[in-house]
Amino acid sequence: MIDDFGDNFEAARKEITYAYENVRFFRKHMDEAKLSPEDIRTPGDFGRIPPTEKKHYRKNFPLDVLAKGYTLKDDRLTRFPSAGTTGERLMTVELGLVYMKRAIETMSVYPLIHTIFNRQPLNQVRYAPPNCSDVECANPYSTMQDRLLRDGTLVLAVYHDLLTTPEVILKQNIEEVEKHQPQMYFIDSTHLAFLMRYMRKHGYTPPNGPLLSSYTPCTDVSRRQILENFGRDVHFSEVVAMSEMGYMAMECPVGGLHINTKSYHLEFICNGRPAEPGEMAELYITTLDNGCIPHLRYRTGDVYRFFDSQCLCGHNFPLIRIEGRLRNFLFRNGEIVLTPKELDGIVGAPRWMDMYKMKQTDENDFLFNFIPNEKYEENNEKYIRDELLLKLGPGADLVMEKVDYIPTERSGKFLACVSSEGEKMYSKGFCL
Amino acid sequence: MEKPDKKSMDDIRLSPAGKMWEASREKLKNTPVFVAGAGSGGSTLVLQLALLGFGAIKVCDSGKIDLSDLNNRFLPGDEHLGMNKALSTESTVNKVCPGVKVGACTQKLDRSNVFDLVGDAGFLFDTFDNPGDRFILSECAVAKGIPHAIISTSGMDAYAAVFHPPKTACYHCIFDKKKLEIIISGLGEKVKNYRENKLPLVSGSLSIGTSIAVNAALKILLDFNNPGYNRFYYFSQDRTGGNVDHTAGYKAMTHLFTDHFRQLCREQGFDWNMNRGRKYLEELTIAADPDCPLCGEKAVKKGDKQ
Repeated sequence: MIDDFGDNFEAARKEITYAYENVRFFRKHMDEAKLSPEDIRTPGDFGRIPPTEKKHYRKNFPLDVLAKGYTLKDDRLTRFPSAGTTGERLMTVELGLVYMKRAIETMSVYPLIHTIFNRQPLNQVRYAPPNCSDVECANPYSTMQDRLLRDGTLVLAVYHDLLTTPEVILKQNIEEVEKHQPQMYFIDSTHLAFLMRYMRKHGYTPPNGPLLSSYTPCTDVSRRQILENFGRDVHFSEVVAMSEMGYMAMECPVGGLHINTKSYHLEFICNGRPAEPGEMAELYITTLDNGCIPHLRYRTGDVYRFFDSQCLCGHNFPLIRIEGRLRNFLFRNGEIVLTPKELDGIVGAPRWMDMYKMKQTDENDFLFNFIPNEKYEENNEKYIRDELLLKLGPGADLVMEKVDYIPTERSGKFLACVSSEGEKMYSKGFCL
Repeated sequence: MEKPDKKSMDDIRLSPAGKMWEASREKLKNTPVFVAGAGSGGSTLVLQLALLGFGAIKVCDSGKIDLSDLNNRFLPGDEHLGMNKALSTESTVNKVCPGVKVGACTQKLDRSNVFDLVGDAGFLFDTFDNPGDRFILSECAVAKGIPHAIISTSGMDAYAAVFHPPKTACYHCIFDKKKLEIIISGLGEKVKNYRENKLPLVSGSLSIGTSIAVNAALKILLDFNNPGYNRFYYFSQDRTGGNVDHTAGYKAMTHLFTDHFRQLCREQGFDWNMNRGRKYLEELTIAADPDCPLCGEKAVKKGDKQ
């Protein structure tokens, strides 16, 4: 367990009591496990609460997951729809202030960004899959005003299938960025890398401002392209967020990914027990804010490693590494052979590559598609093939193909690693 | 055993491997070298240089020996507590190798005095732990056209490399100065925590990086083949314990690596972020970065501004 509850245990207990008394689904969940809040006396008792999952919140939304006193018509609430990467979208509503508080706490790991974020007014730009935005940005006829949010965020237009976005929209993106003069960017890295390629081709460098990369894990290939175009002076930070929670973790200036232990109670679970530092584990998260939809021991489906070492930056939030979604892991013979993060470590940030996607289509079949650029020379990808074959093990059939188009997922997100075997293992209930 | 006279003793000390390298003696004796840092690595290195017969060693450090230094310095005893590190090194080497001329410099090295301090040194050893100073030293070495070795140790890890552009990559090809600037501005007032990090050191690893650097210097100055150009030597026994990739010590050694260097390593099956290599000692091939701000194609060269 990351901090053995520390100061969070009392807050977690209060959240349990609050949820038990105010949220119908959670009372039923506890009753079925024959538990009441009074049974949770020590940190060890916490694990007796059966984990909650996305399906519970989908099935019981809205009436049975909203705390007493809230309705969907409540002005104080904001809607946070998920992108629907797993096939079905999940709607979360929460007090805007609760999300804001979590974001500000998380941003404390990057003091400069924290300071800029607190400035008002703040011109921001969002460039991400359309499903991740609460305005219609996949429509080429929408105007800048249609996509300007109350908090000063301009949502740039983009097609649902990223690489099919027509030039007229890309041109419009440049004009709007120039007009809006953003001081901060909230982006999906694959999306922005795509826009960067177009901007670079046309000699355009966007206004400098911190970049917060979220929505999907940032690949090194994307990060390289973004930094090349913005220049090395830009502050770039990867953020881990979920539509259900908001901001959870953020990369500090030294490059350490720190998870917020102030706004949440966290459990890293491996084989049903608390994980050891460095071990792969699924994150279970408990909110602490007595908000509109409390989440208790919520299974994120995301796999992390946490570390008990101090970061060079000196911040006390623990260091983590996100390995990816379990359903995207590459499996052979029922064993994990590669995580999306490990795959990205192998590929790296070669100058000759714009994008890549690994797809496991069967037990032994792997397809690695990549989009080369003008710097590509024959056989550049050899080091990737050699290392992948080593990791995938004997008998793996790896096809590497140069392509000029890679589709996004149904959700509009772009995942660099997908796996039919991972999906199978996940649906069979494979747990770390 | 009959003790030779003092002059013969000095001659023996100043002759590497006894009489084998007789011809090299004068060359080493007369080549001034500059050692930046007289901490754990620097003091070890100066002793190695003295035993090899380097006759004129200038060692520079403005810091003082405190209690935390006592478990990682070979040279001084407790009596040197509170003493300037360079002076302590000078005093100890003078006792061990009286024929060697060690000049202690207690000034804080910075951009304004680095050229004068390094002077006519034929080789520059950098054992500093402050990355900002390391960039200054590298710029000086490149401008003077002298070979330059870096040594770093943290925990049970150590690395060393020799730079001598245009024959090799330079320090700026491997370490990213912009990244350092971004970190400092990104941390704002919290930069104090970053700067004051005290890293763990294991005495067993101290001489690994220094030995590689000293031997490389010897080979370069004596025109031996294969002096270790375009190689980055990385020694790590920490990995056996796992999870070191996120420790402050490991990060301190690696967090400023350029994307160019990281990518070169990946192409050799070695990833600094994870998985890393499979050996205790890695010999990674490095190459100049065409985009290097100091030695790359776009770098501002002497005379370009005219």
